Amino acid sequence: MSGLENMFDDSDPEDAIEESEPQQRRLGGRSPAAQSANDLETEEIFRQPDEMINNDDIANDDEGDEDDDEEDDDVDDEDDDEDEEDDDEENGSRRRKRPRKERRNQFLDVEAEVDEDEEELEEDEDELGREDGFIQDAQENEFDRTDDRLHREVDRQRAAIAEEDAERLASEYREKYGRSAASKYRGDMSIIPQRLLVPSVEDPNIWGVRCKTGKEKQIVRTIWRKKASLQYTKAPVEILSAFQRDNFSGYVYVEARTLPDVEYALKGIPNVYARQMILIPVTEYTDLLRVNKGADVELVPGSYVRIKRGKYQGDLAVVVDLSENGLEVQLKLVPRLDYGRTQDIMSQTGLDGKRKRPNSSSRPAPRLFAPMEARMADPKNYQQRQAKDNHYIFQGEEYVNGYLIKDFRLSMVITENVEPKLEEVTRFSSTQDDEGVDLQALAQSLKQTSTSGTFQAGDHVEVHEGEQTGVHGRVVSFDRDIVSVRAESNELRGQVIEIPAKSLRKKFNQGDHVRVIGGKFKDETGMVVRAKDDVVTILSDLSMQEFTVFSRDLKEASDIGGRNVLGKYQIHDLVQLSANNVACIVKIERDAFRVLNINGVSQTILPSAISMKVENKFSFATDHNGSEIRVGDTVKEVDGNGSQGVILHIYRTFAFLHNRTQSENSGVSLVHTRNVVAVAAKGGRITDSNGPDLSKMNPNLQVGARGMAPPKNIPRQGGRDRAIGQTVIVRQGPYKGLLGIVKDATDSMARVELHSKSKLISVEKTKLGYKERGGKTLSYEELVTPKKFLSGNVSTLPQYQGGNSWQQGGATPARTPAWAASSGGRTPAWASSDGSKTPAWASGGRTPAWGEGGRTPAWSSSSRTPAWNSGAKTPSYGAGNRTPAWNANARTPAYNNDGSRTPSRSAWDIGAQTPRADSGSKTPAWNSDSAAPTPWDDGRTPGAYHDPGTVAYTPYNSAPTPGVISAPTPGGWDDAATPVPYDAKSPGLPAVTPAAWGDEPETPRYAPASP
Amino acid sequence: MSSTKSERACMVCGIVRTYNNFIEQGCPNCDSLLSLQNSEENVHACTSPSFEGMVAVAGPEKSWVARWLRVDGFQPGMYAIKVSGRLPEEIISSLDAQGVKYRPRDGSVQD
Repeated sequence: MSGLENMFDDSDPEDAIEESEPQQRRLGGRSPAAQSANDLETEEIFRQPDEMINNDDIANDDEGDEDDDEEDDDVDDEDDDEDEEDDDEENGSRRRKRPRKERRNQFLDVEAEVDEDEEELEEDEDELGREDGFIQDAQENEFDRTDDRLHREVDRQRAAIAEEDAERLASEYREKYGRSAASKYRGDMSIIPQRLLVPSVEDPNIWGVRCKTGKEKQIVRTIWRKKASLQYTKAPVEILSAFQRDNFSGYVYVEARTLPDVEYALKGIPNVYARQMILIPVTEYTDLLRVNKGADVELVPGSYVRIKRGKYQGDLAVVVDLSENGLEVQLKLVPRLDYGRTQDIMSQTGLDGKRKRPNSSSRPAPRLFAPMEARMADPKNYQQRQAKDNHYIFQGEEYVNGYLIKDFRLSMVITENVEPKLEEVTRFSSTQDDEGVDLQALAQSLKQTSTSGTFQAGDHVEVHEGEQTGVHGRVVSFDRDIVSVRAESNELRGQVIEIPAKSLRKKFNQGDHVRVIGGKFKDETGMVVRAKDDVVTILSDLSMQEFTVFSRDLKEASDIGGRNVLGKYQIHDLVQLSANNVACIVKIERDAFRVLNINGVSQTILPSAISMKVENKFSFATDHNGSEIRVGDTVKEVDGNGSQGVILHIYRTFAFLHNRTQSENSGVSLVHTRNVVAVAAKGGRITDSNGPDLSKMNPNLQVGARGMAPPKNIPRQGGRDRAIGQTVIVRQGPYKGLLGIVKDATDSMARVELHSKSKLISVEKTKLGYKERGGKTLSYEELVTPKKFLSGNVSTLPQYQGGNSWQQGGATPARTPAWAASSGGRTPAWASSDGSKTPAWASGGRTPAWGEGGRTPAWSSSSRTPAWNSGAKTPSYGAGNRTPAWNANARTPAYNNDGSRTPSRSAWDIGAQTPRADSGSKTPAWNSDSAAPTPWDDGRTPGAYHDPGTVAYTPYNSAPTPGVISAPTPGGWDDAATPVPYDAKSPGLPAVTPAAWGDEPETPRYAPASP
Repeated sequence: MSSTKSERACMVCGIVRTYNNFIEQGCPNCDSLLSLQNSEENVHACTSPSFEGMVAVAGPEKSWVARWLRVDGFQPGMYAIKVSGRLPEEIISSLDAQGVKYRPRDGSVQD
């Protein structure tokens, strides 16, 4: 132990601090151990005792000087010296020492080092074993003593703190209560109602002074500074107060006793127009200082607001939450993100070295947050909240369900007159959020707009709050927010009471007819079906749908109507939505259109979605029966629900119908034109003249009927109707012979303005003669038939003419002679010019004969019929008198040549006609003569013609028939163009004709005409 | 005018000062109640950046405007006519405990 103690003594307590650093120890130079031990091992060995001593010393120091001395008795002189030094230090500068000891104290924590040492010491177990033991003993002791010291130190500190606390408290109390009275809160402790504070004449005056708008606050400050700086001068500013209100821009108000005070206060202050000063009446004082209930109080989650400034300026936002003090709101916005694109541009410097600045036009369009894009653009600042899939943090902003959730100061937000537009609102409801448009919130936002003007004299109103709750009556007059109401309730009946507008609501009863004067359903009218509080449900007049509005948006009305114009589009307009999509506007809402598109889907679109209006007044289509249908026609659906309607538009193969009795889509429906049949054409246009009505083909049903028109085969000419603008002569009817100009035309009728009578008449086109420039008069067929047909294809003409002759039916015989008579001079002319032609015309005259023949027994009784039937096949036919005539007519090949006709069609047609002739004649001869009747009867179906038995002669039959039918009639009718082709091919005709005439006893008149 | 950005109004008395001013000196009228001095937290809670209507109150005792605004007992200075925002509940109750009835200056109370 003594050796060890020596070693302890050698070590300097102070040096022990830096003991781990051998260099310093060497510098210290006083530790023999350190000096002698150059190798690490010895150093390590000595380390332990060093530490021990340190501990010892610390403990001693803590305990006091006496203890130190006592312990030091055992120590050498050197140590004594050291201790003395220590003592000196401690006595002289205890302060300085203390932190040092604390450091030592901290040093005591280095148990870890001891442990390390122990590990190393284990290598020399034999020697160090007892040292370990010693160390442990010593350490225990040391700890005990250290704890003691700590306790005492804590005590001391506590005392110090207590002392300090006392001082601080004292100063605090002094501050609090020792202050002058001025610093004490001197606000009124008791509530004085403000009405007791109303100004009186004794109070100072207030002058309003004009100033430059926008400078009001600055002026008030300046006045305040002037007042303050001149406070203790000889000429202080004697005003009492100066103020401004944001609501009264362009004015500052100065409160003072006298006018000179005000003038003095304002003197030299810029932007004040001190000459324009008004003395405010005492009664208006309170209005100047009225504090309106802040808009922030009205905000509730779900309200709509707008952003005042910055990137989202003017954008609509939904309030998500309000901060506790009402100064901040959490808003939901549609983010305007460009995912770093602007930054890319920003980082590029222009040629002039200036950076491009983002301007307002570069503001990104509002679009929902796109996580993918965000991650691509800035992965570092992208983070997805695990808790919710749709919750992201991107560049420090929070996005939920694609919307930006951000806190805004209330001053950044516009809460009044937000007037959310439907398109903006729909942005908030267009996601899977499933909320839909919160009409309640929308209404709330709209409600914030001024309530004035919602009542009109005569409105039936009801008081819904206050003392008069339940009273109802009629509005007599209103003055801003105060409404005078003549009560109709029992007690107050007849009295006029004044009620604040906000306490009133309009009252409606079930069955009232009302018009919506505001909101989404503006201009709708309807009947009240339910009225509860201020929510009224209405059944719309037009759409037959129920909707709910606030009673404030309603007005009693007797008229019916809806809004039918928005922008440049009207209801029922056909509009282009995209290249392939058009739609018909079925309903016009406040800011949007309800449309039915070409896919039959009804949707709501914004005006901006419409690219143009489609004008197709003249479009037409063919219906189920091949009849022409046009806009304005009434059609009926063939299948489906068989609904009927007026065609609004025809687009390609679709037609938009309108039917008032239908509620769906406001009566507009979309049909395929093939699925409708025309019921009534606009303007009495003949619709069934456009083709054979298959349902009327059955001759058994058509006996005696006028129908059975052969197909009208006037080629449809494109573009403008050629007849329009033509000078015409009426050839039939009461106006016959009159000259006129075709003003308008449908496919079969012409509106002719007569030259003589100054009158517009409707005439069938075919009953007109068209004056050509050369002086010739053309038939309608000639007019519309392209010239090449006239010269090259003979058959078309007779055929058409045949059609006409059929149509004209019974009129023909009567007129034909007339014709002959009237234009008698002409026929010879032809004869003279073309020789053989005239007979052809003469033969043309046969048609009536034929027609008559068809109806007369003569026809059937004549021997012709069998010849007719067999003629095609047998030479006898050819040999027969008549046969050459038929052949000569050569219409069969011509007929076949006619590209526009298919044989089957012709066969069909003939089939249709022939039996008619047959049935019309109703002669037994016909039936008995030929074996054909049966097939003929069957022949109305094409199949019959394919029957082997009949197939041979069918074409023949068909061929001549038109010839027979058609050739003569046009001849009779048409004067000019046709003859030429006829003659060439019908030399035999003249011969035939007389025979034919000869056979016909009833038409002797014709006989002389023909040759 | 740049100073207006950082200006705030005391929610109790309505005095307008800059934020820093509140921190450094507190509210000249209500610091005994609110102890705004050196407390950013309190300044944030008890003062509002949103206010309207600037009044330079020069003679609080004599001015009717000051009386109407109930600042007649206070220090002369710039006051706001309307101060948006409300005190936190705990501060209101602590005011109550000190016998001061808090009257919001945001216009929500009319009397």
